[in-house]
Amino acid sequence: MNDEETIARARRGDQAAFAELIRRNHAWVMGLCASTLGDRAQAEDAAQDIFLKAYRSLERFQGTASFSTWLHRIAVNRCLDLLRARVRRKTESWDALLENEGERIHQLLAAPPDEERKREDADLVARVMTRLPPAYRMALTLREVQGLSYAEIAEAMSCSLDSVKARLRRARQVFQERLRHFTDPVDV
Amino acid sequence: MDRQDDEQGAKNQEWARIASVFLAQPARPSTAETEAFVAKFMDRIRPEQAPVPEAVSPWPWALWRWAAPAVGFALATSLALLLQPGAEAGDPAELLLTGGEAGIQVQEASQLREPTTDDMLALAMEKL
Repeated sequence: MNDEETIARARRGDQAAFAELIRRNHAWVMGLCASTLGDRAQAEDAAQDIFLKAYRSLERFQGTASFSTWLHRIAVNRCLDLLRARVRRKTESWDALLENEGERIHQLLAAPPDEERKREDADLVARVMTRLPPAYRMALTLREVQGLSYAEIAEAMSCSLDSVKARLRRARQVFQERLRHFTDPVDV
Repeated sequence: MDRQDDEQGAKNQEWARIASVFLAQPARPSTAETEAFVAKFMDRIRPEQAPVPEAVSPWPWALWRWAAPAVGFALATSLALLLQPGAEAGDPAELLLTGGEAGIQVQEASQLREPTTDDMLALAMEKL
């Protein structure tokens, strides 16, 4: 059964059809939440909220865009809300983080981490990522992790194509400027 | 030109290293994890009312709910007007111009009479 038929059945109240829609989209929704929010448990809660919002708004889904695009918009909005709430209770600055965790960051960037190292350093990666403004972080995640095109990111973030390009350029610039010390072999 | 290309190449390489660490693909959930997620979600929505089915769209009932009293009121008003005892049937245009009996009275009251000699004398005396 294709997406259209499944959506039509879900709109008629067939909960099994909606369960099928979740199965088809669960991996990328969880991936987006985990990449942007860092914390696995919070990512799972956010993913539940996203599907619940989709379920309750299914009547308003017009079908002009694909279901995946529509769901991306809901997911992006939810994750951005959570990221913005976190920014309001921000803790450490870039400088403090780089000073305290410089050695670990250097080791992370020196060699591609294996799966075990990735798990061990997940908290550090999350802490570095939280230094980025939410909109930059979201644009980077959609591009680099989810592999979306510029047009798809613009659609998901409800902004212009130029704005997406500017956010991505600026986000990469911030990262490179802050971490140059750890990636430049001369300085190491 | 070559130098610019080299710089861009170095930047791209640097970015690739950063992205591989900080923007790595998260582990894909297993089938069991997805099923557990779906089960948790279904438990959450089970008490909720399912979305309104399209086949039994309630719009005609909603319309009839408002239309029925309106139609009834219109019929009752029409009947009351038709059956009104002693309804005066006059020419509507004439009634509008004269204003009925009241209009005639006003018309009479406003008619001016011819001035008499006494009136003329009184006017002359006022001017003096």
